[in-house]
Amino acid sequence: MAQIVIDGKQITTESNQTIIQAALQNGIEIPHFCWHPELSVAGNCRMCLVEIGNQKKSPTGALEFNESGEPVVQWFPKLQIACATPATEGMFVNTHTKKVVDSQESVMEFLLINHPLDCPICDEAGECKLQEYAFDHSKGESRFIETKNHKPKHVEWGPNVMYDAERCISCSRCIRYAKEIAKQDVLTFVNRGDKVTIELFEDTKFDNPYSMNVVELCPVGALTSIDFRFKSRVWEMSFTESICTGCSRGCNIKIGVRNNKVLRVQPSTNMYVNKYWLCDYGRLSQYPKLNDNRIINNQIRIDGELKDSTFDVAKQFALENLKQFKSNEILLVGSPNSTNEDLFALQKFAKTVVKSSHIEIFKNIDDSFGDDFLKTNDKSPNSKGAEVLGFTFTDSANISKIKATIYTKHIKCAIIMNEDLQNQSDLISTLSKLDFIVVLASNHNAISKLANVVFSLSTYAETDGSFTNVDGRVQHFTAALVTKENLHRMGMKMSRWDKFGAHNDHWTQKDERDAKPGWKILQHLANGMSGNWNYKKAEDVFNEIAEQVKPFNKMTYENMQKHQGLKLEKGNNPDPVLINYVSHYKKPD
Amino acid sequence: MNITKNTASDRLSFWEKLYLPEIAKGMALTFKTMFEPKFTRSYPEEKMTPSPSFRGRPVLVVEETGGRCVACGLCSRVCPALAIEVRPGPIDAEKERMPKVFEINMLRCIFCGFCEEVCPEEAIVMSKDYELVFTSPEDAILPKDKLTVPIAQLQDRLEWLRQYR
Repeated sequence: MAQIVIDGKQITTESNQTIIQAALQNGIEIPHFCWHPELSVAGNCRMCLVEIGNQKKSPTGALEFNESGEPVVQWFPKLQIACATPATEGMFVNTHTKKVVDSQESVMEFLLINHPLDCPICDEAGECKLQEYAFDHSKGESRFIETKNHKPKHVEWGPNVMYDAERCISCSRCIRYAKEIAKQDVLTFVNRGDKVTIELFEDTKFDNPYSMNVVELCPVGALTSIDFRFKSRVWEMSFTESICTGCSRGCNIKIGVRNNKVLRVQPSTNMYVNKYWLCDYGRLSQYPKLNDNRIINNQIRIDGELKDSTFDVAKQFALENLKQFKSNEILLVGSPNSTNEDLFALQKFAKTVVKSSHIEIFKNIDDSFGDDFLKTNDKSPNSKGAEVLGFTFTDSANISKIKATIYTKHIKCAIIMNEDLQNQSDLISTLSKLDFIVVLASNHNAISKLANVVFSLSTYAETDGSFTNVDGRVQHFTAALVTKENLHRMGMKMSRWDKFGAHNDHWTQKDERDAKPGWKILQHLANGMSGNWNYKKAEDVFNEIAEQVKPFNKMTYENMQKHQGLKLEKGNNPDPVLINYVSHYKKPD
Repeated sequence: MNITKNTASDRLSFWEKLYLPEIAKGMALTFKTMFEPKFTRSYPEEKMTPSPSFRGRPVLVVEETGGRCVACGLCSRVCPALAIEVRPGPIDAEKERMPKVFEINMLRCIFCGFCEEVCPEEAIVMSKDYELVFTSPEDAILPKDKLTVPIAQLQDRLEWLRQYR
């Protein structure tokens, strides 16, 4: 605890805070490149130099004040770096005086001497810290007329990270990240002065499971991701906050979309879950789920062949056939990949409409996947949610029981939602013995090929919903992609292409997915049978969950967004809203 | 009260009322103009050649070594009418990237020349092409292969840009 004054503003710091941390918590931004709250302090960029002083004391030890009663401050003759100077009692800090501004401009001029200024072909442009500061803290003109240094370009550090030494400003964030967070200490500075560059140790690759975080960490375009290399300029895309579905950690992500295609997945800061990081698997596994092999239309099987049809026809076809079966002849299969809303709807459908007791849900465990950082062995995003909503996971003993009931024709029909049964391949072959299979799926898979009716299901990026992560944190996400269902919905993030597209523009010509969220498809089926459901949006379903399921009590979408998720049982006692550190901003945002 | 003044016959002078001198004057002008040089042109047989400052259809400059464009997308960003769509792609050259898709929708283009002004590579310039007729909206969206023009044909525009930009 210390009382300090920054730019005339009285601030109470927490113990052991540096000036830059205290300033950040009080909304004062001190320009910096190398400092990052999760990394050790390097203090080598010199961008955060500030003027520091103490109040003058008389020989008797009393504090001196001038005639108007203001403290007389004795400033240190040289500027100090705010990132490494601890805030101590009675400290005075100036971040905007001429001396400080001059030093910032000089630092920027030095950094830009050997920077290639190839922003037009740099992937970082539009979200570059150096670009931002060149605009805010630089004179805007260079006095350097000599030739710039040339260094190696497009060096592949690993399978996912590309290094461009010319653009590097030697902040050492990546070196410290590799050592401290990724625990793969393979990077180091070589050479000196303006020849300094970063290299890998001999015979090593920067290929740890968290390697791609350096791309966001890098304040300039020296490190770019290979998966997004030259795909699009960032200002042409819309970025929507969402949740990673790679495992049950529920890391917060940003989904970058252009022309209704996901081009980029990046971590989003949530200090309660993933902090600033995301694993490479999480990023790279989202693209195939969201972009490729999608079921665009609803399908029905006529004369042994699956044919595209409209939703209404598929619904009628499904309803007519479902009527032939008795309650307990219908098997319902859910999935921990579904949202809380979809799972709740499935359960309600099973209990009140079909009245079947055969409801199964399978875990997707990979014991080699998890680690002690972010990844968990459970590779589904919502297993916890399924558990809390009252599902019991089916164990291997039960699988043979299900198979037996299918063989003995006690179960004749199945409704399978968002489950590809990849780990239960022997069950897939048994399913073909069924008389009628309704599948709700977003990607073509082995199950959708067996189906009699396929309903096109929205992925998590095409609908609103919530996932409950492994620690019981319920997190809300909104739609990033458009389908026929949410085509003209208010509030979706849109790029300027989306905003101003006309029907004859090429960029508006994308396949329109006739996908619906699971709860909506089930509502249509329920209302066609005996139910009387009346949900208009995902929020209505969630509000019912919050009413009926005790751990979800008092939770609302609004609160979940405000507090970056709510813990189960703590709907009315949320974690405090934190000021999240943002290294560099995306423009326009 | 009826207006009886300022009728047609009141306005004409005596010589004008005679007609014949006026016809002679008219014929004199006709014959004079007949032998003067013409300032109209029988378009489309005869075509206009605009000056280098003319802003016609924007085109992509191609040098002997290949296209100049690096697909930075600045033209697309600055275009007030969203006529230009660029999708970049990597190549194995010093430039690292080139446009995979480069489309200009000529129905949207307003010939403002901002794209030319913003281009860091002088890769997109306004040509002298003013004959832009399309039979369908689809044809008006020009793909990359219809936009590329060899640098030799654009010399005077590039020279003009060097002088006046």
